[in-house]
Amino acid sequence: MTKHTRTRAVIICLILAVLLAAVTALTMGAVRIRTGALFSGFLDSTTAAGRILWYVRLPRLLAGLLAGTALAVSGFLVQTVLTNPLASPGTIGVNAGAGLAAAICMTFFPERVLLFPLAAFAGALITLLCVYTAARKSGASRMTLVLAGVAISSLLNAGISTLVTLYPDIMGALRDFQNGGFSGVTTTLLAPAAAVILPCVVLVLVFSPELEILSLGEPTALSLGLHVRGWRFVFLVLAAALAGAAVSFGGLIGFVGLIIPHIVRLLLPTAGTRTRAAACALLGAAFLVLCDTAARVIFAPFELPVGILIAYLGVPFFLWLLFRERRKRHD
Amino acid sequence: MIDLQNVTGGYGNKPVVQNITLTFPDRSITALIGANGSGKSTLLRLLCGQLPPFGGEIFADGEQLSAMTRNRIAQKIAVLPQSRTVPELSVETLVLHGRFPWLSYPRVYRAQDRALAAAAMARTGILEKAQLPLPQLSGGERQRAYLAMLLAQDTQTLVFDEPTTYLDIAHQLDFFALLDELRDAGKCIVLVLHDLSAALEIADRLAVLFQGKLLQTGTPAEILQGDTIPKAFGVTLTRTEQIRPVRLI
Repeated sequence: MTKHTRTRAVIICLILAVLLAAVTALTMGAVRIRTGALFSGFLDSTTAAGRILWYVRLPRLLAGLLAGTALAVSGFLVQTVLTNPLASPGTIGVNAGAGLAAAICMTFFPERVLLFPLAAFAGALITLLCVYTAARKSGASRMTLVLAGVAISSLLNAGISTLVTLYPDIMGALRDFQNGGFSGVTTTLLAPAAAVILPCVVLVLVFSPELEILSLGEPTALSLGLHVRGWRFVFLVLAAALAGAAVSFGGLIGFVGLIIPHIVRLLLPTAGTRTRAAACALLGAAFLVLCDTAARVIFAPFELPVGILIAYLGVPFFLWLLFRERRKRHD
Repeated sequence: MIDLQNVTGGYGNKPVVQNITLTFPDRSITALIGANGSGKSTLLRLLCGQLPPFGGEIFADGEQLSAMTRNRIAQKIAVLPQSRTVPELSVETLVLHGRFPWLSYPRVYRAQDRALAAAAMARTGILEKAQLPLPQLSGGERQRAYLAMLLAQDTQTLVFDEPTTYLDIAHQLDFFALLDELRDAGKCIVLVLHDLSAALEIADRLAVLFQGKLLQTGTPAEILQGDTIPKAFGVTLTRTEQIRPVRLI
């Protein structure tokens, strides 16, 4: 069976890519650590290399892995549930919703760190449900949904800017947040987000048959006996939880949720939804870790926020997708 | 068999079809016809349980639809909607989804599911494309893949909303032959068709809708006798010597 051989080969390559990205992220940086020295560094945290690995590079690596996985799977969910290839947490305003909620938290409860993921999740979910309801009620096309997302993003970003104007103290923290990046990420911030992201990814894998039926469109899914409204809500909540958790420590990183599901679709054109969701998780993790490493290294000693680097890659990709989408048919 | 008793339904609080009492019997092809906006699609969504009625009762094989779970309905009624997505799945994966209502967790296909799916693909002539992704197929081939999914669902009632839209003439005739075969196997077939001559040709019974009301039900000959067609469509029918396409074997 060539199909299964190909799927297996792609998945193995993706696992290797994650490992390679992880090793690269741990060794490269202001201080080069040889691959051979990684092991001894992790064993002895009192050496210089050990301290860098344990307190700087490992949290940062975990942040990249978690955020990449969460954003890619979230994008995959949103695209599948809305049957819209242009949708992603970034393009339909979900990240901005999570961002505004997190900014409100930062302003008014700066010491309540554990509240950030919760607030980001609530912001993401409310935005997602608003955009989805608006699109459904108006019977809007795919393009309209994305345009509505752009408008809603602008509105939410205006909200963030208003907060900055009124409370200039949060300006520094918020600028990093809006650019999106992992400098200064700590395990205190990562732990609650990981507690959301990992179970959500498992749930997506478990319920992937339902997700696949949903991708056939509402009338067909209903005909096959799926409780469409209930399941759609479940998957949108999962998408919001994933995006919200990633935003809570990584800030507004766009385009990962848009790009990765498309590349997976090209790599695995006939694979089932479960395989694709797993591939999205792996590729998202590898991609974001590599981008973050590049962002740290390219302009060293300066560090580019990874969100900015990804925007350089993501915008041309999005434009390409727009033109490609215009030529596609819909039965 | 689907049985509608005094059914009223629509969207929001605006009724689109009113007081419809109508039976779709087994071993019969029944076509719902009517002008645009007469309520055909609404009635179709009501009778397959996709739209809850405002009033009245709907029965599928004697069981009350409103008391059945979605899954139970899917074991009795399969629907081919007019508007479908083009999912990035292989034909075989799509057709196997026809077995979804019959699988319990963890949704692993049994040998009989795979056999039913293979037989359905063979019947609609799409078996040799089983491993191809749907976006690579033509509109007609995709239609046949969906048709195979419907057959794999193995229900007593099959409902088709404008099924001939993407089919060229040869495949339309193949499709009609398939409907005849399903009818002869005892199935209850419901069609929504806007093509009046196709409906007169293929259906055993016609139900004519006009402004949300049921105007008449009967055999094509009975429908043609009265003034139902002029009233419902604003046209008259004249019989001409027809040139009929016949499928080459």
